[in-house]
Order: sequence, then C-alpha cells, then structure tokens
Amino acid sequence: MILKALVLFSLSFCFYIFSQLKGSLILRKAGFVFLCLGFLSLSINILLEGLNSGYLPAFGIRNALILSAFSICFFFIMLFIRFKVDLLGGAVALFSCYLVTAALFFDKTHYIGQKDFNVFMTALHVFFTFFANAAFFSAFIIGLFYLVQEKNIKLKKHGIIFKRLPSLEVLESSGNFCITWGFFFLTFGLGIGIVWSKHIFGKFLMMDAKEVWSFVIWILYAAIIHGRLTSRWRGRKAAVMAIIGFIIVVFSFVGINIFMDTSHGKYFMGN
Amino acid sequence: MGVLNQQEIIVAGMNHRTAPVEIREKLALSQEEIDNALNLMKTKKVFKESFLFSTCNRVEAVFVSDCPDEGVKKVFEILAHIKNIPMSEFINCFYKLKGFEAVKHIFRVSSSLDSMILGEPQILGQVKAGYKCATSAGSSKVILNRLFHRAFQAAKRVRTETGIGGHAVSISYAAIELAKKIFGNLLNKKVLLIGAGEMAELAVEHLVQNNVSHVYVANRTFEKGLDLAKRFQGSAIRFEEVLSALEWADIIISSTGASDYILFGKDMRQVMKKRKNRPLFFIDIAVPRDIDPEINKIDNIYLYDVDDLQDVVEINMEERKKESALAEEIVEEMALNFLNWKKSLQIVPTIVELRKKVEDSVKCEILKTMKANNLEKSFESEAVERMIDSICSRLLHDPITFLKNPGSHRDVQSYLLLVRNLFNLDDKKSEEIELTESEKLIKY
Repeated sequence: MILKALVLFSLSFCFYIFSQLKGSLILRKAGFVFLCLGFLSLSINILLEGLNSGYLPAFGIRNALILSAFSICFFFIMLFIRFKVDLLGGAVALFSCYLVTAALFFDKTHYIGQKDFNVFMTALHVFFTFFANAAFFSAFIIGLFYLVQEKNIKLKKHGIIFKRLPSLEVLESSGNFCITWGFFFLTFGLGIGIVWSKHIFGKFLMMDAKEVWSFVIWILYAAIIHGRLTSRWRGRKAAVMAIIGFIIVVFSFVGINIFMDTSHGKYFMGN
Repeated sequence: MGVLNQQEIIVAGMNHRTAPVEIREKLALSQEEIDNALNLMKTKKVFKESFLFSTCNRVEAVFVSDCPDEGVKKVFEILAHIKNIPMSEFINCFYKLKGFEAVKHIFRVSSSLDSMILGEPQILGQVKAGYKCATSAGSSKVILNRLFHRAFQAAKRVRTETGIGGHAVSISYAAIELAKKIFGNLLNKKVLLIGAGEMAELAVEHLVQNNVSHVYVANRTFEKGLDLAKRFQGSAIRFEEVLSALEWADIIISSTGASDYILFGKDMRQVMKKRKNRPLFFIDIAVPRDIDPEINKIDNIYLYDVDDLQDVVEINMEERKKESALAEEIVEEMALNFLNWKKSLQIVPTIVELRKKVEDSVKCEILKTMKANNLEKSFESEAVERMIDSICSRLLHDPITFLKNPGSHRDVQSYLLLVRNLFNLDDKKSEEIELTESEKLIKY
C-alpha cells in the first residue's frame, strides 16, 4: 500500500510539473486527483498497520514519516476545500514522495518503551501535533510563494512564475488560515500531551528539550497570530515569520528528537 | 459542371495596413449603407453570394462568383456609389484574394490574427454581426454560410487552444491585471483618481467594470473633479485631502500636470501605520511623475509608472506574437478542410460517390440473399454484375439527370449539398450547420 502511495504521489508531482510548464488546467486536476488517491492509500495503510499490529501506528521513524505525509496531504485537502485554489499541490506531492521514500528505508516499529501509550489520548496528541506541523509546513510554502510573488510585483518581473502564482491577497489569507489552524491543532496537541503526561509519568511537564522547544514554538506562533491581528505583521513580514516559525518546527521535530535525550525520543523514536 | 468548377470565393478589402486613416474614415459603412450595398449586390448576376462588413479599421467584401475580376469591379462601383467618392481614390488601397488565400484571410480576420491589436476580442462580434446582416438580406447562401460558421469555429479554437487573448495589451488593462495580482478580487476596493487624463480615466472605467466599490476623484479644480466623479458615479474630494484619503483608498491612479512629486515616501510611512499595513497600489500615469519612486520600497506599497506599464504591455504583446504561430497553423488547417468540403460540392465527385454508395448497398444485399440460398459461387458471374449495374443505373438515372441540369434559375450547389446530406456521403453525424442548411433547402 505504501508503494502504491509512492507511485501515486510521483504521478501527481509529474502532472503538477507538466501543468505548470504547459499552463494546463486538466493536467493540474489530474495531479490533484492522484494526490488524493495517494492520500487515500496512505490512510488505508495507517489503518491496516494499526489493525494488524494492535498498536497505534505512531511509534518509530517509519511511522512518523508516514504520518507526516498523511498530515500534509490532509491539510492540503482542507486548504483546497476552504480556498478552492490548488496552491500547494506540486510541493505537497514532492514532499510526500520524499517522506514516503524515506519511510521505506526504516523497519516497521509497532511499539517502543515500557509505558502504556496505546490509547486514545496518545492518538489525539500525536495526530493534533502532526496536523499542526502540516499546517505550519503549508504556511511555510505559502510564505515562500508570497515572498517570490511580492518580489515579482515590486521589481516588475512578470515572467511565468508571476503568472502562475496567485494574488498576494490569496496567499496572505491562505497563510493566515494555515497558521490559525496550526496554532489551534498545536494548542490541543500540547494540552492533551500535558494532561496525558501527568497520567503516564505522574507529572505535567518533564521539562526536557523537546517540551521546552514545543513551548517556544507555541509562543512564537501565538506572537505571529497576535502580530497579524494587530496588523503589525502583514504581507512580507508575516511571510518571513511563517518561514522562521517552520524552520524552528523542523529543528524541534527532527533535530531534538534525534540528537537530544528526551522522553519523546526515548518512547516514540526508540533513541 | 464546368461553370460550377470556376466558382470562387473572393475577398476584396482594405484594412489599417493597406489604407491610410483618411480613406478608412471615408469608406467606413453604417448599418444602413451595408444593407443597401448587399441589396445592390444581390441584383448583380455576377455575385452568387455576398457578404460585406465594415469596422473602423477595415472594409471587407466577400463574395462567390465565377467572374472574380468583374465581381471586384462591381464591388468598387457599389462602394463608390454608396459613399459618393470616386473609385480612383480608394482602389489602390484594396487587396484582392481568391480561393485558399481568401478563405484563410476570413479565418484570420475572425480569429483576430489580422487585427491592429493582435488577439483583440471585438472583431469576432463584428464579423458575426456582418454575417447576421448578410443572412437577413438573403445574400449569404450555402458556401458563405459554411465559410462563416467555419470561421467562427476557427476563432473559437484559436481563443481556447492558444494564449492569444490571454495577456493585457493596453496600459489600462495591464494596470487592472496587476491590481488583481495584488488584491485578488477588486470587489469592495476603493479607487482614488488624482488629476485627470484620457488614460487615467480609461483605467478607472475598467476598474468600475471590475466592480470596485467606489471611485473618489481629487482635482485641483474641485468643480472639474465633481464632473468627473459624476461620470463614474463616485464622489469628489478636495486636492488637499489626498493624504488623508490614502488611509482608506486601495488603488490610486495619479495623472496630474504637476511638475514635481505630489506624494513622498516619508508621508506614506505614517499613512501605512494608519491603514494598518493594508496594501496600496499606485498607478502613476503622469509625465513628469507624480509619485516619489521611493514609495515602492515601503512594505505593502506597490508603485507602477507609465514606463513600467508599457514594459508589461510589450512583454504581453511578444507573448501574443508567439502564440500567433500556433493560431496560424489552426487557421490553415481549417481553411484546407473548408476547401476540401467546397471541392466535394462539384457534380462529378458527388455522382461518383453516390453511385458507389448505391452499388455497395445493392451488392451487399444480393450477396446476403445468395449466401442464404447457397448461391454465393454465382455472385462473381457476369450476369449478376450486369444486374447490379443496371439496378444502380435505373435507380440513379433521374437524380443524376436532375443534378446535371436542375434548371437555369436553381442553385445547383444547394441540391448537391442536399444529396450529400441525404445519402450521408461525407460519412459523418449531421452537424447543426448541415441541418440548418437542409432546413433552408426544404423551404426552397
């Protein structure tokens, strides 16, 4: 199933690339359809893995990568339903390809550690935080698009990229949408994590690097939303903040889990 | 048959490339004049079918005739008579095209490949209006009906399959496209026009067509501003109020006669704070410029002057030219298809095809019957062949005799088309055009 997803994402990416080169709407629609099919096969894969193993498919690097691709596709479809603009199709298809390919290099891991994580609360914590990351990834790509399009307009460069990218208004409002939903998911994910930590470990916070950085990310996105609401960070500044925010998210998600000794690394990644 | 073979499609016309504006002005025809000319053409035997249309940039007469030179001469006489000017004044400005070149020209004109502004959309509407006139006058028949329907199809294909109409090629349109790239939707956007001027007013008109919420006009002479605001159903403000108006306006078109800048970067930083950094789009059409170029460096402010817009127009024009190569291929292909159809409207090919169709049907049925009665060996015999031949000859004798000589006042091509449609000789599902033509023939 995971290989099928990889093929579908690759096809989707090819269609998106050709649609951009040819300016064809039909090819773009085909790209979208293949992306949705890839998402469907990833969903089935996650469901089957969960049912077959009897454990939540959220442990280990392989599952983390698959869940990341799943969340990014999920949020992309959410964004499409809201804005009716296929903004990120190519980037989502490419990144999903990369994540699924990377997942193929790791063995299946059903469960790590001695604690009893295999419950509904863990699932909620994992899914909410992964959806938050997917939303911040979308905001990051939209932020890049915004900077490119803004530069095109400011410097009066009206090439093919200028023509293909949507208006600044669409980019700004979809960026807002991503950050708002990302913050919502993150708040719930962290909240559930804190409560569940008390149940598992007997205390709300372990105060390890992962938790500290998660809190930093929460503060940062709260500040971005505040900046947008007060109109201080509009346009270019907001786009730059979305990019910086996601770089910190990547550092927190990958760097800290792999290189530092944290509870998440120990119980989820098997470090 | 010989006469039919010589019937040609002829175009006699002049356009912005062949005639100076003085001649084009003199020859431009009103609706009434076109009707009169078509009625006159109908009375001349040299024109089997005719069509005439006129725009500010061209006058084109299209007709079917077996004497092209005489037809062209008559067109000149009719134009000279209707416009009351001597033929010698305009005769050299006209081009005469026939056959493939004429068909291709009509397709090119309809597809806006021959227009002054390549790809402009109005021309198709004008050709359609001209065609409606010709059908109302009854001067467009089988060949021209088909020709113009195919021309409209060619224009549609060119528009959908190429990007010829996809890029703005006027300064005002280029400004609107840019505004859309900044604001997305122009609905609820407020426009402020500073000063006046033809190009600026045109841009405001386009913005109004794109449903901006309100237009404000600031002019040094308040009364002038009031007049202009009335035209756009907007409001006038005093020139001194411009800076405070920038707090709520979204698109500013400036076209004053001021010798120095009227808006500076330092003023705009304060304005942007007050408008909570909402984007502002300045279109500076004035020469010398009204707006300090430094403004473009401020976040969320976008400034385009007349040169920037001209550059956009030139790039877009180049894009259209690139697309026109593909459009020319489409036009050529469709012109060749049309000429193939026209060739089929000759008696000999139609009779040959008709006879073959009937012969095949008879052969097929006889073979079926003989197979059923175990007589298929006899099918190859000379007697059966002779029988098939005589059945076909007897069946087709009257129709063929009629087609060869339908009477001096009858339109042979209409009958040929009817026969081809009745026996499905073109082997295709009947299209709308064929149906309408057949309906006309039934009435006939």
